[in-house]
Amino acid sequence: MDDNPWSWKVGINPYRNTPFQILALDVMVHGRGPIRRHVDERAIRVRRAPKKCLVFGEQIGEAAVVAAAKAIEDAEGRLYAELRTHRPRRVELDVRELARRLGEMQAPVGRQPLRPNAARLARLVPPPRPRQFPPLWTW
Amino acid sequence: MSRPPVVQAAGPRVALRQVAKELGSLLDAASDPDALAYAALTRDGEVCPWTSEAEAAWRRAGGSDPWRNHHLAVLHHARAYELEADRPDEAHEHWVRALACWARLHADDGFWGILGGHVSAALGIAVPVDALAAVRARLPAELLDPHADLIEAYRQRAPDRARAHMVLIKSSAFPPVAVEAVRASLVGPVLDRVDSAVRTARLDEMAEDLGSWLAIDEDHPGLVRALLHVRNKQCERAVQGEGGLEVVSAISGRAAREVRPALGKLGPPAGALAGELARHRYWLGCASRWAAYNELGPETSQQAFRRSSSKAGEAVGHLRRASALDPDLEMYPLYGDRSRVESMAEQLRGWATFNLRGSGDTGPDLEGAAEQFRRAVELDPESAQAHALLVRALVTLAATSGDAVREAETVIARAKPVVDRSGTAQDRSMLAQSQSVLAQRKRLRGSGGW
Repeated sequence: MDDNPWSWKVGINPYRNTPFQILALDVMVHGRGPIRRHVDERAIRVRRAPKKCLVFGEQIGEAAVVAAAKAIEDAEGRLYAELRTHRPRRVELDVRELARRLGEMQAPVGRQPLRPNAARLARLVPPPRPRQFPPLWTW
Repeated sequence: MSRPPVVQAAGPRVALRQVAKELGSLLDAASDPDALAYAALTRDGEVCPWTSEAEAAWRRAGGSDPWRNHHLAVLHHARAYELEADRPDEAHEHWVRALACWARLHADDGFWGILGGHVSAALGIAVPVDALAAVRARLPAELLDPHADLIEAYRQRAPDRARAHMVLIKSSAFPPVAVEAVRASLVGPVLDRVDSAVRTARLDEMAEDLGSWLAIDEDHPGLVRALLHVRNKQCERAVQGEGGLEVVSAISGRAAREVRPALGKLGPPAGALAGELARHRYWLGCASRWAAYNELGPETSQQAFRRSSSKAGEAVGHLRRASALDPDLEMYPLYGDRSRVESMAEQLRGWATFNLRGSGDTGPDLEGAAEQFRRAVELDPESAQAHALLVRALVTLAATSGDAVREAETVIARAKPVVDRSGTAQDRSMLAQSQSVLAQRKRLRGSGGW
């Protein structure tokens, strides 16, 4: 099967270097206009700063960007690419739930202020030396 | 004794760590598990198809829904492709999980509805129903295709790995028509060569090829039939001058070992497979009959008679099964003597029974032997030897049974023309002796001496 994206080819993983990865395109971007603008920007960045547009550590060329864009232009190509791509999920906090659980948290116990160990500290202090105090005045 | 610290600061640090840990757990509990797992796919700013953290997160989440199934399908399938070249044993579990997820997705109308709607929105045009249906219809074949490629690659150098991928194909939950299509694509080319190999007598090479495929797809009915066909042809050539029954024994025994795993899994054989199995059983019967005969000699021990009896019994079983599988078997050249061979096996069995002492040194089971000789005569009414043996058994029984005397007289009347027509000197001598002994027994019975 020549066009089968899942065909076994040594060293090729059908889930790496997919059109969406090459284009750095979120599958949730909708509309031909926004997609086209994104593709154009990607092509420019790849041309100008290829080392900043690595895909799994490898540089890609403008030709790869063009090919990836073409691959998802029609319904069939888009379907195959989507089937090989994780659908993005955003972490959405349930803030009320978080606040409720925070309120139930116990305060940490056993907190004590810093207290120096006097006996140990004393041993670090140098011993007093005998001193001579010249008289400040004479009789 | 340990020295006390200069400054006691352990309490607050531990407490802060504990707070941070609890906050982390709170965030996890308040978040969507799929979102957390998806976040764990990111490495160096890129979303990877698989990470160990994401796999662990989805395993903790448990359960399934269409999009989680899709995440798991992508995750495990990607990992399987990564591992197959260098760590195929580790890849296997991921192949299993991936194909299971893909099969669920393939069957899920809801998933395809959502996917079609999403792609329509992305492209700004409605995805044609036919296009969506076509991608969905092709999916099983496309997902099973790499396993067919790997089977071809592994077949000679790593048959165990090839077999493992065949098991993946057959145990996948895709529609049976897709599974059978992949199997057919693999074995079709070798099956297409069978007729030509038989015509050009390249039987050994063909049998090896079929055997290697059967070792990978052990219950493929087409492969079983083809291998039996080639092995049967090898036996036919052997009895026509290329090694005789010794070669038949080796070939039919090997064929039995090759197809045994499949026969245990296939249902009752029918059609062409039944026909080849019938011939295979015929050859097994001939081989067993030959082995039973070879146990006998001028001074056959009781153990040898027991072995002969056992092998003759096997021969009878095989030959009866052959007839049951194909009642028309005897119409084919080289198989026309099935009944005669079964008769010979019954004669051998009867002869062993006639000579085997019972337990505790009791005499032989003469009734049993007579019954076996009767079957031999029924199977081959033209067998002079079968008649002679039956007469001998009945005459021996006549020492104690009036019924045996009457039957012996009837059988002698039928046997005489057959023995005269086609019997050996030994058959004629046995018949004559039996007649003489019978006459003596009748005189003694008449005089009340018995």
